[in-house]
Amino acid sequence: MSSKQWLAFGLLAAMYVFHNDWWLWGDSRIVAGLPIGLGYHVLYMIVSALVLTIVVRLAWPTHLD
Amino acid sequence: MTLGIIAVYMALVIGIGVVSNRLLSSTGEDYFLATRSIGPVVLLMSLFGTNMTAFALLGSSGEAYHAGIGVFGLMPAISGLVIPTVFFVLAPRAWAIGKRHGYTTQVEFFRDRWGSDLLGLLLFIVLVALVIPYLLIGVMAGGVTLNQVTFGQIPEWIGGLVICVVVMSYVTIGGLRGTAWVNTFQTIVFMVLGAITVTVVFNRMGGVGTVMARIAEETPSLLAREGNFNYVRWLTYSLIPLSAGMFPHMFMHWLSAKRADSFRLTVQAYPLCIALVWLPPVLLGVAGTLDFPGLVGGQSNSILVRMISLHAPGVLAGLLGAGVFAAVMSSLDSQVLSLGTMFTEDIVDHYGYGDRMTDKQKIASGRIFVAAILLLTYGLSLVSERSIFNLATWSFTGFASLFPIAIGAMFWRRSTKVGALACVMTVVVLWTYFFVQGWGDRAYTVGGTGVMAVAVILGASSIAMIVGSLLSAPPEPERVARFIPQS
Repeated sequence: MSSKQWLAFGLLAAMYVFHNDWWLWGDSRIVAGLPIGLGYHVLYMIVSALVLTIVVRLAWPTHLD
Repeated sequence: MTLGIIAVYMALVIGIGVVSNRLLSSTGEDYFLATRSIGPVVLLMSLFGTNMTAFALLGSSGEAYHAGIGVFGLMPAISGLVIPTVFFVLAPRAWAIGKRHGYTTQVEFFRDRWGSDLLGLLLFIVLVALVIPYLLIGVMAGGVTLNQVTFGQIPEWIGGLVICVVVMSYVTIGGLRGTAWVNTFQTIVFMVLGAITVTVVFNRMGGVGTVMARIAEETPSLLAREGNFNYVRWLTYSLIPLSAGMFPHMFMHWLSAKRADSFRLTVQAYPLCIALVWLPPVLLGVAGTLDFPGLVGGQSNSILVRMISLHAPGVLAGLLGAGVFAAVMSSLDSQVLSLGTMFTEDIVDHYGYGDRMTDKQKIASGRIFVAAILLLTYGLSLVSERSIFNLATWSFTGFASLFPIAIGAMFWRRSTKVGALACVMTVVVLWTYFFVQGWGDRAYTVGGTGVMAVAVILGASSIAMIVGSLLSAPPEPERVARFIPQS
């Protein structure tokens, strides 16, 4: 694997870890109209899209076409 | 009015199937794979539409009704990362290999990878068996939706029947090109209608903030995960989205792409698409506890439709009914087409029955097989009272546990047919065992430990794949080179 591919999979692994928001597990506060746990995961999905965009630019298997 | 809107929608869907049929070339590759010509936008919409089912709309709202907002983190949030990662790793490679060697089905792909007819036949049986509960939730959702939007005037058995007949019609007419076009149309329909309906309902309830404040007073436990989710269950549930790598209907869409680059948009846009579709039903499911308290078990499957019927009857209820039907049919069609294709290619043709049949007879045999599967599914829908969320989770557990097959085929040169067979048999035995153990338990985990069955089965099937391969003779280098180039 190239260094770019390692970096891409490192980013994906980091995102996987951040899915586990144990510090908000028992928190039911409402922030900006949404429960804080729900708001966190909505934000998480937006960041996921950004990270996947970076991953695609870094390590797309261009040799397949 | 409500029924009129749904009827017009059904006619539109069949119309798109007919129009795409006019553009259909007469080859089998066009019927089954749209001549591998699907571009980035239609590929995204057809993959996403196929992936989002009654599970995403009725299943998620029904589960959120019982378990609260944590459902959003449990399934869509991690799916938004894992599914596009699976696409990134597997889809362009599967497409390139499929195009180079002319594969049309998943079974053919894996059978040829390891040169084993037995593996092909076993995989065919297992994949069909695992697709049935997935089909079942769609048929159940059609029945529930039509029943609720008409305030019980139309019994559930009619809704399920309508869905089966309409899907069978346009798949028969349009093949995969028709299915891809209809999926694109239907995906736009259910994404837009989902956003509109949640906005209207929450406005009529006083706004999202007001509703959440009321829930915080009456049932605050629904706004946090403590008490609703076991942390180990949460962690192991993140393996469920690996199922996207082994769905036969998704694999079929992978093979239909125009080029490998077509998958880029899908990988990048998938998390946002999932968030847009899942957020409205989860919010409505939690809000439903205010208006419809006390629903038990599978009764909450209908909470989304109940909320719409209460707060936005008439036109909007009809549109939402069409939206749910869109989500259901955009998955059922691909599942049905992939089953028919596998039966025609991997059973009728592969075992020589096709030599004695005309092309028309071969396609007819695939349709008869699909009709039989749909009839079986419809029969099961009349007696099943299980949670849509639960049924889907069991189906996904089986597909996710087969994931080592896909990785072994495309990345591990030393993998052998013995390893692949051991992997599939391990899944068959353990999935059956845990399914029987978990029957009737909404939050079943292995021995009550919080560990989802998928973690145990996937671990065991991975070990079976590795040990079985290492204990058997290495595969022929020429065969391996066709799937994993040396460079």
